[in-house]
Amino acid sequence: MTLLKKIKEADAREKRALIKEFLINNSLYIFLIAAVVVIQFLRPHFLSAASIVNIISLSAANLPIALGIAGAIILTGTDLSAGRIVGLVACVCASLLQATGYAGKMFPSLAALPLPLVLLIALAIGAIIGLINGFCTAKFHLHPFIVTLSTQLIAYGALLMYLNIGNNNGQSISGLDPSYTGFINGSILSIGKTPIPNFVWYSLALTAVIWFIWNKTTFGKNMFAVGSNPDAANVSGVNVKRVIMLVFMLAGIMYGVTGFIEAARIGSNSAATGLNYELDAIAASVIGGVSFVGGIGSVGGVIVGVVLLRLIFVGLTALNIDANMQYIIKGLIILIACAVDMRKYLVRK
Amino acid sequence: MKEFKKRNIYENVKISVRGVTAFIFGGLLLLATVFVVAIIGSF
Repeated sequence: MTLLKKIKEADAREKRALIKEFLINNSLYIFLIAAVVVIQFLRPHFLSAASIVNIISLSAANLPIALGIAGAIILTGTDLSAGRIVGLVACVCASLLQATGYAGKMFPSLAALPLPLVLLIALAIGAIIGLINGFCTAKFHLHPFIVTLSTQLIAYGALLMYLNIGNNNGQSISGLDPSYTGFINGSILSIGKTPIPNFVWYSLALTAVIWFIWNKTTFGKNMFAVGSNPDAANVSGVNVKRVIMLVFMLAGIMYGVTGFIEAARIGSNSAATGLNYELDAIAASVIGGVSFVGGIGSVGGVIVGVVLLRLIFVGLTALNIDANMQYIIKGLIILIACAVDMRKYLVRK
Repeated sequence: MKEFKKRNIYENVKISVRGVTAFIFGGLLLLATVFVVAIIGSF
């Protein structure tokens, strides 16, 4: 029964209780939307066509990593290695797709590889690290926080060592092949005079695939079952260890895609690429209703979380608010989102 | 002997819900204050 129907059929006292619950459960959304309205009032060009395309583009770039981390959160875990995996993949992709004849090319004798091959390499790197995360979590019952913290450091060390090989000597990798940058940043559609980059469509297609996996496959249902109650899922015949490994592997694949896109989107990739990406992704997932108690989350919620978070931070930048203050605001938003999530769990209990 | 006030599980949960609700509203108030201070500071 929808909320509106419940309110219509309830008596006065129940109506007040339902409306109160609705307002509290959605208080953060209401606040953030009010903040966007205030920002639009103070900066009338905030929601111009160019700004909207910018927000959509930034959201699309962060969506795959947020969906990957959301899977880990649904299993009552987390994934702190996401950002460094994105950075590692981005640098590897960039190094394999530098323009022929570029003076600072990392591998001068290597021609730019075919895009599908590099994409496969990106997915493979992400999948392998994700599988390691899942294996250690599932088989040894280590907490995902510790496992992913370790792989975060390992990925970062591997990235630093990778940047020192060939002709690179630790410098940032740029001078990408035009076919690569065109594939990611090129455009076939525009809003007004502002072109929408191609990676927005790739992100949307990937989101549709993840929605299908989460909602229409046995694996997806098992993921939610294991997140809700691993013992009950085990008794019901679900292979809990395999589900955990596959969820982390899928998350790793999503980070691989993010790295492949980011390499071309940013254009110049260094050891700092991907730094703290996982924090934004976790924040977006929690704002979007993915619960840390496990078993609850939706692709639509993650999309809303990513877009809202990006809207707020583009808005804060438009207001020239100190970048350091943005960290405080981000932290408070995460805290309140977690509190709202915990309240829903306590009310159910 | 000191008597400890025993609460049943339902009351403990109710107290927790009230506490978290107060935390949410406190957090939103703090966030609003930070926003206002940040906006005023940027002018």
